Amino acid sequence: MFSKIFGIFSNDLSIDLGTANTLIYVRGQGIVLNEPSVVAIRQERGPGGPRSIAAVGHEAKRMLGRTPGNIVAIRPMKDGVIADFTITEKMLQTFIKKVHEDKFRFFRPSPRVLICVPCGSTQVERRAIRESAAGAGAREVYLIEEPMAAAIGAGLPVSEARGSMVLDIGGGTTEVAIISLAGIVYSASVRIGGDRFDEAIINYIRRNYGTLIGEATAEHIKKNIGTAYPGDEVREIEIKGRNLAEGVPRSFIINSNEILEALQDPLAGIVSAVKTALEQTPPELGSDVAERGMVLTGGGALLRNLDRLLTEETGLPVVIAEDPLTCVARGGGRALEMMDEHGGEIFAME
Amino acid sequence: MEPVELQAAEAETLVTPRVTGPSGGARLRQARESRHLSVDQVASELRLTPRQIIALEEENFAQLPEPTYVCGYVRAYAKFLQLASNEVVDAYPNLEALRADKVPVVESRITSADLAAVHADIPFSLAALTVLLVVVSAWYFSRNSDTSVVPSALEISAKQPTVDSTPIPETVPTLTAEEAESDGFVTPDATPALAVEQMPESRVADDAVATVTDAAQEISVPAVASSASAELETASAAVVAAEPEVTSTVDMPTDATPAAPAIAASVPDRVAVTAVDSASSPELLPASQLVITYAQDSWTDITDARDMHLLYKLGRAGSQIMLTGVAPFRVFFGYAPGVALTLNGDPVNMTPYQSMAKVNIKIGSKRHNTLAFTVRADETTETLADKAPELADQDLEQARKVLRQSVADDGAQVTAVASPGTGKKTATKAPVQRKTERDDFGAQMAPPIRDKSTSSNKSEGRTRSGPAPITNLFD
Repeated sequence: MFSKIFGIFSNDLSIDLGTANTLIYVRGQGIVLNEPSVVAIRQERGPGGPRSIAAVGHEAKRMLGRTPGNIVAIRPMKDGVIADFTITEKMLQTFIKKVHEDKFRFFRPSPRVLICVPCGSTQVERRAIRESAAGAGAREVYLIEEPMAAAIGAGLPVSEARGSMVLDIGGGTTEVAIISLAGIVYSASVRIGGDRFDEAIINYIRRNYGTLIGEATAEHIKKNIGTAYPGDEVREIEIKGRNLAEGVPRSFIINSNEILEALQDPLAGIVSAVKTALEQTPPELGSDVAERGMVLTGGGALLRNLDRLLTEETGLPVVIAEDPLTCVARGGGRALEMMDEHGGEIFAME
Repeated sequence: MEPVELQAAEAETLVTPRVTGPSGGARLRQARESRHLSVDQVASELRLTPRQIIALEEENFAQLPEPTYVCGYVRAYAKFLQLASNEVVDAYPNLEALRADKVPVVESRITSADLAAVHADIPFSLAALTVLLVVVSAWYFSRNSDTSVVPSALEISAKQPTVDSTPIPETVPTLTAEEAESDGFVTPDATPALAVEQMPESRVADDAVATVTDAAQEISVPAVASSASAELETASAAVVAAEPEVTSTVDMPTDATPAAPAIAASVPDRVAVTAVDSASSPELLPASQLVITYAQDSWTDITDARDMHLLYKLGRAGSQIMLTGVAPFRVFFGYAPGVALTLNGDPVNMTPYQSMAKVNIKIGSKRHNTLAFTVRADETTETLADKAPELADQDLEQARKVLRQSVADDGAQVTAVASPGTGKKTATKAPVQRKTERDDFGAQMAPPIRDKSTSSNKSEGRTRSGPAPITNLFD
């Protein structure tokens, strides 16, 4: 009963509940929150004692791999879906509260929430996300498939009778979809994303340098010198890790060609998913895609020369969407608006 | 995937004003020509058609797809030509809209303070609701406690006017046994049912009271509300006379409808009203009055049928204690020979116990010849008011005498009805529902015993709404 009343004081939110980052888009305000999906849990008074949340977001991410025994930094999302239901709920609650903090503070925010889910997620996984959002205080929860949100956010003409291909490379999953007439004609989700890139870098360095590095370092390498296609210049970076043979930290220099080699495996997975999608696409839509190309969204789109790789592999023009990181969240927000304008049934949402 | 940092140049374009100079298409063409590249070469490199390349250079948007794609093409083209892609995009006229569409990313950080706020999140609604609930319940109970003493242990009925009496010009003169004050069980709150209030103009209970004074008991004398009676909108008056022979209950409810107000004057001889058939008269409260006169000190412990401790103290020699409760009572005297006991004005024979000091007895059951009465106002058989609407006080008294006589004759129950507002007084004779009490303690008491709160509510309702069947008669 109260939720409806408090709904007046709450914003409609579009949440991109990603494996790596959670973004919240508020209608009329834009992206109001962009935090890593990391929660640090503090175990109080020894094992079995009460647990409390030590940090969420950036603060918690800094703790990743740097925590004492009584704190554990958790990434509650894995492969685009919920791995830890309770922690996800707490995290969402914190985020929703944060978004509403300048509103009426006395009221528990009770917004309408649209959440993006990977198109490959199962019913159980979707339900977990829905209930997690409801537990975090959402009045109503709508789910939209990530590629659709990404396409809307990227500004593709989703509702036209033309095939648009979108490739959304997130932290946990890569979603590829062909969209026409506001519906998904074909979609595929591979559980390859930024996390797999990091893992691949860690494994490569351990194998070739006999040195162990952490996830944060791997991510740092990826962002700075990571590349998907050999470029004109070779970049280098100095990193430090624990030498496995000596058991002491050592520093060494690694260059972008090595990282390119390291990333071959996950990149091949993505390319193969794209090729499969193109194979499966009906010819008319395929020709539309061939004419205009595919659109890259998600943080993975920022990997250097990824568009070039895909262009070479598929022979299609590849376009990186403007501001690819926020495409899904923005698309979700736009979907909420369209839902209000058109009565809610415009998208295949649940 | 973790966000790869926006390249510095790209980030800058968010704030860079539009570059002046040649437009984007012209720049691309110049750069291509300066590198001696043909359109076809560029097209094959970018996997676009030559037509699209020409359209890009001519900024012919009709030949091009949506701005998203155009923006991507331009970036790719500029990158291929090693131009600053952002500058070229900014130089394109139609891509401004796409740029403007871009929403700024607010860098908000979750701090520990936010977490504290989340975890200390007691919803305001809940807090407000709790406070409201507490206030309402406090009000409710405080209100209820005024009237909830109906079935409670002790009652000095005429102690003060009832709480819900309407503006009344005169206070109630009371004759109360002095012990009443000293008794710990004296409850200051009078119940509506037993309340003595003004009985404007009519001195209905007068005669009943007059005969009482010798009984050395508490006597409630209804006030004589003088001329103000006419103004009284409400006069819910109940007269309880503690006299052994007479009980008068006067009930004059608020609205002056002829049917509603009623004075019930019942004059049962040597009758204790204890058990009442709840079916015939659900409103009745069985109560009996117990008067203990101490010739010598005696420990006294009295429990009534509801297991309510009415008295638990040392009675001092020469004192007198009056109790009201539901019969039968369990009575314990530490020194029985020093005590005289009357139940509803009926002396209890204590001679069998004279020999022993400690006595533990049950009184108020059948061997004391207790009877149950009910009086129902709606079962009137005779209405004096019909004959004489303007009956004066004497008339009423007269009627009461007659009625009392009739009670004495055939055991019929009498109800005298007075209506102050209209000046109408009626005396009615109701068929008696006489019931001999059963021996069984529980069975006897079961019907009339009610939950404290319900009975209090009911009695309250009755006092206010008058027309309810008249009341118990305490004797």
